[in-house]
Amino acid sequence: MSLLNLYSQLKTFLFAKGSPLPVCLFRIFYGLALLEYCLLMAPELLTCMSDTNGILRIQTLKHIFGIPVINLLTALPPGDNWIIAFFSIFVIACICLTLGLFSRVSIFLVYLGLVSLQHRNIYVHHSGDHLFLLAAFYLLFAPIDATLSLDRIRRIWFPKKTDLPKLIPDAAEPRSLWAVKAYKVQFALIYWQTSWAKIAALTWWDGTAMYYVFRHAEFARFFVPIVPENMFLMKVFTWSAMLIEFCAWIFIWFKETRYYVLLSLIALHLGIDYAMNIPLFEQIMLVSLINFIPAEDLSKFMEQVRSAAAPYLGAPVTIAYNGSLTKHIKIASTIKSLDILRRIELIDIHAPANDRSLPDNIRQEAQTKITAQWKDSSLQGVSALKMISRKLPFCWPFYPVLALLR
Amino acid sequence: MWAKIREPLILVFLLWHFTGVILWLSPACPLRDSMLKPFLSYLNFFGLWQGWSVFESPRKYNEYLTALITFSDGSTKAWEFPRIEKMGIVEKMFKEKYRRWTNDCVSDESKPFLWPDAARYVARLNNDRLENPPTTVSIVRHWTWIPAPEFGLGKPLPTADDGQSTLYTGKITAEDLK
Repeated sequence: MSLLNLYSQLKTFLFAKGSPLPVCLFRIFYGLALLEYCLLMAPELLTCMSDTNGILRIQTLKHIFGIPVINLLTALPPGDNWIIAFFSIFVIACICLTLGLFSRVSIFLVYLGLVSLQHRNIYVHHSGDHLFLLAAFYLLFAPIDATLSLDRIRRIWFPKKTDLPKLIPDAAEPRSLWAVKAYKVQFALIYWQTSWAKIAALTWWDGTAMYYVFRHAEFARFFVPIVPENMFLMKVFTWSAMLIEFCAWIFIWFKETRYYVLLSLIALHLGIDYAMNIPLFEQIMLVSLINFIPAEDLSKFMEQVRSAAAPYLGAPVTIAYNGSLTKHIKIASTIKSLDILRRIELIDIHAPANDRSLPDNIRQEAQTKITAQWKDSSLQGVSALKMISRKLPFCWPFYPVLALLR
Repeated sequence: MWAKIREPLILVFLLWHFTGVILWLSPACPLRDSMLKPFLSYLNFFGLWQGWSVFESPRKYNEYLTALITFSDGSTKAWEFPRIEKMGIVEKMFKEKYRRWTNDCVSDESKPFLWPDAARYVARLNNDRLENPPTTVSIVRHWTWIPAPEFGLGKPLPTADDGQSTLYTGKITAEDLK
């Protein structure tokens, strides 16, 4: 192997384009976990962050960092209301990030919010909270808005190019995923350090580590039967945790072993989450595993979900649209991007392949209006919207309102 | 132009970034410490510090903190810092930040700079007696040893203190209570 060869392999690993589906799915679950962070932080916000009534004064921060750090909270004017306003903007950014609305701006605000909150009071944040911050840093550079986002629909209605739009493709275009790969390396390094640290510790080798961890009173969560009182099981748990963490940072990279590692890590983190009160730590660890699932496997999984859901959702609805009208293409593209269960069949009446697939009356009506075909009749307007919304999970919350309309 | 330099630039950035990250995560030694220095400002500025040795060496004791508040008339009051082990499932989720603050940080003798602020916080919380404000606050650390497995298996966890030490005693000024 030459250096040039190494360089080109590194470039291929980092810059080969791939499906942004896993990172976009990660964005959604990461956003949900962030909202939980907001929920848990909100009641204690002023205790943790206020200079007047809080547990850590701004002047004390000089002893902690001693060098400049990003901290917008210390730049705010005095007064707790400013902290509340800052946190409110952060919460809005978290909601937008989860929905994929203005994702780029949202992730930037989320990063600024997290880094400021943690630099303002590092002593109320544990390493799980810190992983949220690290993830936000890497996501700044990732194509998080490419799919499963409201941004995708926003781009349909407000495209950058002024050409006649085309119906959006089924899958998002392959994108450069170097930032996601960098986050995966960072994530593996967590297990790298924690496993080496444990290997150097006597209590992990003699199998008593879990015995003591289970007896740390402040961490206890739900009742764990048998295990804490059985030394054999304690040793099995101690050594299993070491083994899983040690294998994680190596074998998570290989196709053949990846799913064994992922399953072991899921079991480990769910177990910790049950037994120990460390809110959000296990959530962010579990959610981060999504990035290691290949896009093809996620697509296959979605196909299985579609097959399983099909009998409950009835036959697909056919929607006819006029592909020469911009508005029709935009509506059809919007429907297509919402149709995650593939219960809508979109037909462009001008496409040569669709010459004989539609009755003439529907073909005629679709010249000017989007038309849904239901059995032999045609539906338009609110009736069509009602029919479509039954097939689109994202529209289900609105269905009762539509059902009231005539 | 951008297309040409984009990939080499990202590569240089990642090389820089992960060199710093890996150095931070490596076992401390003089060589590592001096190599890490150029990266410290960058990693700290962006909040990218590292530390994942969770339960590296589980401690063999339980601990909690109390405060002894002395008021201007000479009377005293004992106050307990929030104790997660005494809370219900939901409450302990919301109050976990207090575990991190008290058990991991304030009780840590290598972080004495946290004590004056903690004492001030306790004083403000307990400034509820008219014309009788707190004048001093002491922070007291209590601990109970966890018995070794051969003595502790199948037995309830001891709760009586095995020891206590006063971490800090500080005066509270009128300015602190404003």
